[in-house]
Formats: sequence, C-alpha cells, structure tokens
Amino acid sequence: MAAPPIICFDNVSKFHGPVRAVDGVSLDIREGEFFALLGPSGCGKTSLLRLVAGLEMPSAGRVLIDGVDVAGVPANRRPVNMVFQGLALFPHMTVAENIGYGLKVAGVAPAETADRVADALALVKLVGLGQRRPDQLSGGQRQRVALARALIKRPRVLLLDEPLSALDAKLREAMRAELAQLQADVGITFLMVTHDQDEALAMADRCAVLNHGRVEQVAAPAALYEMPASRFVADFIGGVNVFEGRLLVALPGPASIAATDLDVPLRLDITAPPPGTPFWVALRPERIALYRRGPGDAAAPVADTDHNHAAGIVRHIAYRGSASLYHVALGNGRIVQVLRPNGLPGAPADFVMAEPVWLTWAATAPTLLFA
Amino acid sequence: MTERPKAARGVFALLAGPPLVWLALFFVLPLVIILGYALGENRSLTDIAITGSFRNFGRALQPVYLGVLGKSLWFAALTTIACLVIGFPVAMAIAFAPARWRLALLLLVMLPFWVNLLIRTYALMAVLRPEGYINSLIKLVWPAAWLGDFVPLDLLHNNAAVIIGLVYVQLPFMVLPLYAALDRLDRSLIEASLDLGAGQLTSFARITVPLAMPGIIAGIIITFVPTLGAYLTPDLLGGTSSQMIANVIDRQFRSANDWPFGAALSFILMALALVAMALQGLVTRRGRA
Amino acid sequence: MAGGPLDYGHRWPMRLWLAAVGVFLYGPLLSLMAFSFNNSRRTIVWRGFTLDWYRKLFADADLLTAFGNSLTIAALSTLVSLGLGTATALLLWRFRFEGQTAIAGLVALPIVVPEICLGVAFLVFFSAVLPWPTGLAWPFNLGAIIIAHISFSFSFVALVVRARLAGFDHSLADAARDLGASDGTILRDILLPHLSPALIAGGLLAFTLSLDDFVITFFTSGPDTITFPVKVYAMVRFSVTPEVNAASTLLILLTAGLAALALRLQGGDIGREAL
Repeated sequence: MAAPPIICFDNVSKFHGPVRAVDGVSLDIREGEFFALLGPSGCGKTSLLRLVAGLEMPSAGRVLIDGVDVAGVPANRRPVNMVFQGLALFPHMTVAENIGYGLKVAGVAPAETADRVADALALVKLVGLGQRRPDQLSGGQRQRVALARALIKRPRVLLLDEPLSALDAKLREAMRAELAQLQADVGITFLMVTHDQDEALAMADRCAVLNHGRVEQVAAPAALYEMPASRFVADFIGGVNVFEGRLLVALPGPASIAATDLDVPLRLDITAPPPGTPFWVALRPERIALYRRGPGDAAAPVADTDHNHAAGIVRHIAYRGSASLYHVALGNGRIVQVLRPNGLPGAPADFVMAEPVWLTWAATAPTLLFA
Repeated sequence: MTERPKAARGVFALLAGPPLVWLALFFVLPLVIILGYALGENRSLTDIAITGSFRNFGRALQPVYLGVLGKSLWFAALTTIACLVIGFPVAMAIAFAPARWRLALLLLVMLPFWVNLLIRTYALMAVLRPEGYINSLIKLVWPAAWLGDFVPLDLLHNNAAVIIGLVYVQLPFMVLPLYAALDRLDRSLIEASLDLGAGQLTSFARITVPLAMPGIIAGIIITFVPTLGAYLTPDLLGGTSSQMIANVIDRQFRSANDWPFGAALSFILMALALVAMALQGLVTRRGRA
Repeated sequence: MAGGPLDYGHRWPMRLWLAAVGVFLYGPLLSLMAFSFNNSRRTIVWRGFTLDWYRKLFADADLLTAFGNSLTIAALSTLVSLGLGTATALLLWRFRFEGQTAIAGLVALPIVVPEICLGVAFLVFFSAVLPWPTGLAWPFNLGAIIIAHISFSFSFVALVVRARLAGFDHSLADAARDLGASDGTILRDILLPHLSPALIAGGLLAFTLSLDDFVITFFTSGPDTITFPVKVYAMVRFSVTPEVNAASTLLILLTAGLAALALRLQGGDIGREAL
C-alpha cells in the first residue's frame, strides 16, 4: 500500500468531563477506501467522526487530513462532508435547495449550482423531485438527498454517521449494496460509523472495532470474523462460543488444551502459547457439526484425531429459516451454540429437543484469544 | 452549541446587555421603589420619606384589610375550582376528539382569550344588568297576571357577578394547560385500564387524573394567580362589598393618596403571587423526582 | 357511527356540556356584536339594522385618537419586545453561565407579577424617577406607556421563543456548518427560519397583550395619552351604550383578524405556542 493516509488519527483523545469518549486512538484511513468505525453505542465512534468534521475538537492528540493537522480549521472550512445520523435535512428548504446549500454558501454561481444539483439528483436517482420538501419524501429518498447534499461539495472524505439507521430493515439491506456501488462510482473515500456489524462487514473495505474509546482491532471484514484479536471483537462480530483455556500438553504439532468449562480436552492445530499466559478459545457456532453417533461408535462419520468431540443434549432450537441455532448442554451444564443449515440435500433428519447429540469440530476451527 | 461566555464574548454581551439593562431599569427599579415606599410614610401630600418602618405592613394586618385579602383569596379559589370543573370535560373532549376537529375546537376556546379583557367584561355586564338579556328573557316569559309585575333581579354588582366574570375571563387559561397534558397522555394507558376491567370512572380517577396532574397544577396556578390580582372584573361587576385587593391598592394610589400603604399592600399581593408560583415549581419538581 | 371507548365527544352529556360552555363563552360576545347594529339606544330589543353607531364612532375624534394611540403603542412595543425577547431566549439557549437560572427566573417574573402591582410600580417610577415630559411630539408622548408595555410583553416573547428553541435540532446547525456555513449564515439560513413561527406567535401575543392592556396603561397614561381601553373604560363606567358595542365589535374583529393571520402564517401550533 503506497497510498498515503488521507485521514490520520494520531493518539487522539476526547474527554467529556470525566468520560473518556475517545482514549488514545491512532488510526490511518487510506485514500479511496470504504472504512467503517464499528462498535456498540458509547464506544466513541461518533466522536471520532465529529473530530474529523470539526464539530468537536480533540482534548489531546492530532487529527490530520492529507497530512495536515486540522486543529485550527473550523468545520466550515474542512474538505470533508457528513451524512448525519438523523439526516438533518433542512425542513424549510426544497430538495434542490438542500442539495445546493453547500454550493450557495460557498458563493458558487447560481447557474453552476443548478447544473451540479441536477447532476447530483441524477447520481442519487432523484430526478424530478428537486422541488419537493423533505417531508414529502420516503425514507429512502431522504437518505439519497442527504448523500447528494454531502457529495455535491466533492469532499476529500465523506463522513457517514449511522447512514442507514433511519431506514426500515428491508430498505437498509438494499441501500447497503447501493451505497457501496456509489462509493465505487464517485471514487471518494468513505468513513462510516455504525453499530451494525452486518452493515460494516457488508460494505466496508476495512473496519476498526472500537470499545470504550479504544481501538480493539483494525482489519478487513473477513479477517475480523475469522481472526478476531480479542474476546470483545469475537463476541461483537457474529455469534461465538468462548471458553477460558489452560495449557495441558504442548507437543510439537497439535497443542492440547483444557478449557475450564468444556469437559473434554481440546486439540488445536496451532502453536501452543507460552505457559502461564491467560487465553481464551473462540469457536464459531457454524464450525461445529452435530451427529447422532459419537467417536466410539464404529459407524461414526468422523473418528480421526484431527477432530474434537463432545457429548451433549439439545436444550433449545431457534429456527431461522436457512439455518437453525441449537443450544446444546454439555455434561457439565455449559451451553454451546451450534448453527446448522436446514434442508441440505442428503443431511440426516433434524434434531429434536432433548435429543442426545455429539458435537464435532476440526482442530483448525477454534481461534486463540489473548485479550 | 452551548458554550462558555469566553468563546464568544461579543455575542454574549450583545445578547445579554439590552434585556438585562431593560429589566434592571424598567422592571427591578420600579419594584424596588415600591418596596422603599412601603417602608416609608407620607410627610405631606407629595413628600414621602423612606423611614424603614414596617408600620404600613402592620396596618395591612388590621381586620378590614385582612378581610379584603381573605376575600380575594376566597374569590380566586372559587374561580379556580369552577374553571377546573367546567374546563376539564372541555379539555378532555378536545384532546380525545378526532385530529381534524382538535385544532378548531382549541381555537374556539382560545379565541375569547385574544379578545380584550375590558370588552369581555363589558359583554357580561350587558348580560347581567337589570335591563340586560337575562332579566329581559325572564320578563318575556313572566306570568305577570299571577305574580304581579316582574321586578328585575339584581344580578350585577354582587359577589356572584364577580365570580361569574372571573370564570368567564379565566376559563381559556385553565383549558389550555389541561388540554396540553391530556394530549400528551398515552391513550393506550387508559385503554389498558379499561382492558384490565376498570370502568370509565375508575380509569378516569386512577389513570387520567394522576397522569394529567402536572397540567392540572399548571392550570390551577395559571388561573389562581391572575385572579388573585384581578382589578377590572371586581371594579366593573362588583358592588362596594365585593372589592378585591387590587381595587383597594388602586384606591390608596388614586383617591386616598396614601402611596406608602398602597405600596405595602401591592408588595403583599406580589409576594402571594410569587409564593403560589414557587409552590407550583416545588410540586412539579417533586413529581419529576 | 359509534365511537370507541375514548371518543368522549360522541357522548351526549359531553356534547351538552360543550354546547353550554360554548354559549357561556360566545353568547355575550355575539349578542354584543349583534346589538351594535341595532336601531335603538336600548340594547335589548331588536329594532332593525343600522350603521348609525359606527358612523357616530367615526365622528368621535377622541375615540379615534385613542384607537390610534393604542395601535401605535402596540406596534412599537411589539417591535422592541421581539428584539429583547429573542435576545434573551438566544442568550439562555446558546450560553451556559453563572447566574443563568436567576436570569431565567427574573425574565419570567413580569409574567407572574400581578398587573396592578406593575401598574402602581410604573405610576411611582414615572412620577418619582423618570417624569415623562408632557407635550412631546407623537409617538414620543406615548413613551411611558410603551416602556411599561415592553416590560411585560418581552417576557412572553422570550417564553415563546425559548420553547421553540428547545425543539431545535442541533444537527441542522452542524449540517449547515459542515457544508461550509459560518455562524452568521447559520443564524440567517437555519435558526431564524426555524424560529419564525415563534417570532410570529410571540409578536402577535405582544401586540394583543399591549392592545388588551388596561390596568398598567391606566396607571401610566396622562390626560393626552388616552388609549382605546382606557377610553372605553370611561364610557363603560358611564353606561352601556350602542357606541361601546360598536367600538367593541371593531376591536373583536381586529383581534379575530390577527388570530386568523397568525393561523395562516404558521399553521397548527399557535395554540401551544401561545402559552
């Protein structure tokens, strides 16, 4: 990656009284990427966005845009524009006036403004609606107006604060693809804040997961999911079973590990951690398979040593259409979540409540977490 | 957007200066002078010395003035209760009316509030006076053959006329806060009460009234305080025995020429009004906690 | 159509009650207006339609002067009240400073203090501290009354504007700033349009309060600064006459016109704004 960071957070902190909304964040956003700041509410992600926009000032550290510290630059002179969470469309202006507002206050000639507003309306597929008021539009249309209003200024970076939160579930899904496509079309760097992990994974090139004002992990969506850096990330991105671990045997080859609340030792296809380090084992529900026959059974489907096995009883089944989430209680009472696709050709009959089952997962399936 | 004054001292001064100077000069100062006069005494017809004595306040405690004060409080209380009883069903009917009717009904109640107080009082005089509409109506149907000539009822210049006048004038003030509280009330709460087996009356007493309490208190205060200081209504509709404290204050200033005593009475009235407002603040704050 | 359990307006006792209150509120006013067209000195029996009382009214120079005075006072005090009230509201909204609660309370005080107390306070003030010179040219001769009216009506303006400001969505200002607007531009393009309903409502309230005021004016007016309510008061004390009916009718129509204007200009929420 030779491209220089278009935005750089350099050890940035933001305090609201005693609350540390942002706590020593260092982060680079690269030119042209779609970057998502992901985290639960109150994790400081919106503060980071507002620090870039100039709507808040850092308590410590620096924010650089194109390598320049923007500390003294007020919001109205920064080369970035924002799509606000509630959209913040001016209710007393028409759609065209809303979109053209940034050009009007910049003193752009009315004729040019009109041309660019027309282009922007075309870009977001709102041709012919320029004279409507925001309250005469649907949720999706209002969303597009907010996008057009920010994009018309041709910002270096487009900031999006929970851009899809105002939409209903179905529309949100559709807008994800559209927003990603729009970003590819206009070629502008997008920096988005969201609490919705699906949204971040579906749209972003890279994500930063934030918790309590700190960055937990920065990675591409697949890496976040497959190789979470901490229990927080593993838990926040998708469902996961986390076991506290203890090293049993560190042989060359697969390590053997005891998990405190798992009643069988685990074989992991990884290098063993140094003795004495606290660690956890994360296992995704879809990486576990359910069988009626166990490893001792001659007809067991998988009996090789690359796999782990545990016996349990089905306690709860949540049907989700394409898959079902099973809660399986192990012998010690610990519940393990298993996600099993429904209606696969050739699959055995569905499991039922209180049925004894065997859980099986590959030695490569779990991830070790050290935080 | 909220920031410390330092950040924009110029804007702060521009916004704070004119209103504060105005209030100090043309509101606080006149009231301070009134307080000064209340603690003073007449030296001659035009010369008032501020002596710092509480003699005027002592005089206000004489039975005759205490009586006026008591009557004012009594009138205000009666008026407030009457407004509450008359206004609550009206507010409920408006709040629960279909949306397209609500605004029109609210406006109908509010419109008289915009009409000049003097004219409203005058309109009532025309109704109540001996040759007014009520007496004329009775006279029209009066069986003079049996009962003899109709002697017009003396409906004006008595306590009842003053109360009717005060209710007439204050009713919109009561309905508005009641309506606002009922409008904010979540309908499903009443429906839940009905669904759980409570009757309309029980639901009203147990759900509607407690939840509308902030509005009821606001309505009571907003009716009580101006009524306590009413001047025009008792002046025009009342007789010599139905004068309220404002009329007595007026007399000290314009005919008895005892400004220090009038100032003391005025100060007492003001204190009563402020206490009533403070009580409301206290009750609403406790309600929130 | 049968109503649900909460359609109280559909029940006949409620309808009866509403009708009775309607007659109570409007009966006296409507009959007053009707009899201003009655062809008789006596105001009870209908003797045919006439505009005589209005003709007499417009020939009464004193009454016309008083009416002119009232409109002048209302217009000028409304203008100043709007300025002072809006400044106060913006001050209390935009800044956090020491003594803020005290100032908010002080600003609300003129609404609470009984009219008679303000009236005598101004009587004393304009006789002891600032005797208003007589014989000044119009509209300066009305200065004392205008000052007194501003002192109570600007509090109402501040109240209405503050209520509206409390509902302001800060993200609109943020959005405007993000799009390049400066503080002044935000004030002009975003904040003032948001405030305009409150400014209209507050202005009309100040205008009506001024036009309506009798007590405070009574104590601050001199022999050559009679206002319409003071003049009508003198007439009413004397007797109930068709001239007063006619004058009252004109004033009622004026206020009804103002209310209609308010409604036209800002739609639904005037009722809520007014208090």
